[in-house]
Amino acid sequence: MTTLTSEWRFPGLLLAILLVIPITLLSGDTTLELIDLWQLLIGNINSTSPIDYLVLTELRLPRLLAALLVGAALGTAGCLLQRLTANPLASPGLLSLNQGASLGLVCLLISPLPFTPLYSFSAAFAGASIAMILVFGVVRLATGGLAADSLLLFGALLSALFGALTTLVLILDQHALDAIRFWLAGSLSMVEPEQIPLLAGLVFSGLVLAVIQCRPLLLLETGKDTARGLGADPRLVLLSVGATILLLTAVSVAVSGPILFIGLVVPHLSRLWLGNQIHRQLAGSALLGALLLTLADLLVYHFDTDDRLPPGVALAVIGVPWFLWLVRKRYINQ
Amino acid sequence: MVREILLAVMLLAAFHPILSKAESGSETRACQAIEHALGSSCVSQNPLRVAVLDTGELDMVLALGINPIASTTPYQVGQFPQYLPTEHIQIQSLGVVQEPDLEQLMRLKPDLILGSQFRHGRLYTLLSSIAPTVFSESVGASWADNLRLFARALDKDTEAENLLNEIDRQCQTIRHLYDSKGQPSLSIVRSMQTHIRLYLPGSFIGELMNRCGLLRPTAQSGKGFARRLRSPQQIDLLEGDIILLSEYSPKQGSLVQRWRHSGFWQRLRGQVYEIDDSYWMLGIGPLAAKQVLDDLEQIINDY
Repeated sequence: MTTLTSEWRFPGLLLAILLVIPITLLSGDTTLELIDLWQLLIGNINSTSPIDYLVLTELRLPRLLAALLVGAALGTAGCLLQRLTANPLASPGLLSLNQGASLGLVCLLISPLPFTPLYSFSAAFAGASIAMILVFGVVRLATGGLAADSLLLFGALLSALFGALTTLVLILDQHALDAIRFWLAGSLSMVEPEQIPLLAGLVFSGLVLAVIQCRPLLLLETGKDTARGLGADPRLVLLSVGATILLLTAVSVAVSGPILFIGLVVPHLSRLWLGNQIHRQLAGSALLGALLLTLADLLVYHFDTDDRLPPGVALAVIGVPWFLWLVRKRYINQ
Repeated sequence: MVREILLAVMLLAAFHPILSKAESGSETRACQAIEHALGSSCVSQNPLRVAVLDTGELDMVLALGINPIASTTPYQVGQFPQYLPTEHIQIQSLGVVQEPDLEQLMRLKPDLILGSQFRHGRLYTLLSSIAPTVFSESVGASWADNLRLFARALDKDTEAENLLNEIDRQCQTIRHLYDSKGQPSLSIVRSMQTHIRLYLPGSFIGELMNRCGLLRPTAQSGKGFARRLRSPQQIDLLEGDIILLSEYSPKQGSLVQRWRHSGFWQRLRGQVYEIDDSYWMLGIGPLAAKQVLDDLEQIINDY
C-alpha cells in the first residue's frame, strides 16, 4: 500500500474495501462459496442451505454493515476533532462521549426498564449526548468562553467522573457487568439486524454534515480573527462541528461500545498516506476507519467463531505497534 | 490484606478467653468422627448451630429439617434462592458464595460448617479452626451422595434416605407417564446474559434426568457440566422434542431473547417450555429436585 503513488491510494483503499466485503461474508465455518453469494445477489434464495442463508442475512451481513458504518463514523469524527482542536492527541473518547454512553447503559440496567436493543441504543446515545452537552456547559461556565483546548481538558475530567460512577455500579452489580461486558470491550456482537437502517441513516447524515463543515473548518484553521473576517463565526463552527462529532460518535458507541483506536489513530494514518488537505484527510479517515474495523472483525471472527474476542481489543493490540512502526519510519525518512 | 486480617483475628481468637470458649465447649461434648473429602472431622452429636457455604448445602439442611444459622448467597443474586422456604427463618448472610465472610462466621460460633472442596477447599484449614467442617468433594451431579454425607454429620441418615426414596417414587411416576408419551428427548437450555448453556449429565439437573431415566438429545449427552454457545449459528444443538428453557436474568438482558426474535429460532421443532431458574438451575438438592419433578410431571403430561 505504501508503495503506491498518491493518486492511486484512494482507488486502492476503495478496492480493498470492496475485496474485504465478500471475504468477510464467506469466512468462518459455513459451506458458502462465492457462487452462492452471486446466486443470492440475483435473487436465487433456494441455492443455499437454510442455515447458511440465516447466518449470512442475520449474522454476517448486519455485522459487516455495522463494522463499515461504525468504522467510517469513528474515523470521520476523529478527523473532525483533530482538525477542530489542532491537537493530534484529540479523540472523541476525550470528550467524555464513551464514558457518557457507558453511564447511560448502566443507568438503563439498574432502572426498571427492559434491556432490549432499542432501549440500550437510546440509553447509550442519550448518555453520550448528555455527557458532551455537559462538557460544553461546564467549559462555558468555568472559562467564560468555548476554546477547543478547554473542551478536551474538561472532557477528560468529566470522563474520569463518569468512568468512576460506571465502575461503581458495575462493581456493585455483577448482573450489569455481565450484560455489557462485551460492549465495554468494543465489540460488534450486540449488533441487531433491525438497528442497521437507523445506524445507516444517522451515520450518513453525519458524514454529509462533516463534508459541509470542511470549508468553515478550513477558515477556522486560518485563525479566529481571519475566520471572522472571512464571514465565519468561530463559535458557531465549533458548535456545529461539535454536534457532528457527537452524532457520529454517539451512534457508533451505542452500537459497538468504545473503539478508541479508530478515532485516535485513523486520522493520522489518513494524513500520512493521503496528505493534509482536509477533504482528502476526511474521506481517507472514513474509508480507512471502515476498512480497519471490518478487517479487525474479520480477524477475530476467523480465530474465534464463538464470537468472544472483541475487535476493539484486536485493533488496539495489532494497530498500536503497527502505528508506532509507521511513525518511526516517517521520522527516519525525515 | 484480607488474609492478614483473618490471621490476626484468628490469633486473637486463639488467645481470647470468650471466643475460644466455643471450641472448648464443643470438645467436652461427645463427638463422632465424620470422614469427608478433606479428611475426618469430629462433629458433636446433634449439632445445633449449622452454617452452610453454598445454596446446595442450604437446600439439603433445610430438607433434613434443620434451620441453619448462616449461609452464603449465590454470587450475582445476593439473596437466598426464591424457591427455598427461608422467609420465616433467621439466617445470617455470609455474603456471596465466592467470598464467605469468615469473621462474621466466627462471631456466630457455629458447631458445624458444611461446604464443598470444589468451592471452598482452600479455606478448609481456616474453617475447621472455627468449627468442625465437613466437605463434599464436588457439587451438582453428586448431590445425592452429598446429601447422605451431610445427613451423617447431622445424624439424620434416615431422613436423607426417606427424601431420596421420595424422589425415586416421583421419578417412577414420571417415567411411567414419559413412556406413555413415547419417550420424548429433553433439551435443557439456560440463557445467561452473554451465552447459552446446554446442561449435560455432569450437572445437577442432568443427573436428575438420568436418575429418572429420561432421555436427552445426543448433543447434550456428552461428559461434563455444560456446553456454552455464543452464536445462534449453533441453534440446532438446542433441539429436542421438549425444550426446557430457563432464563438467568430475564430483565437485564438474556441472550435467548435476542435469539428468539431472530430467524434462527424458527428452526427449532421441539416444544418450548419455560422453567423457573431458581430451582431448576440455582437450586441443588432434594427441595429443588422435588419442585423440578413436580414441574416435569406437568410438562410431560401437557406434551
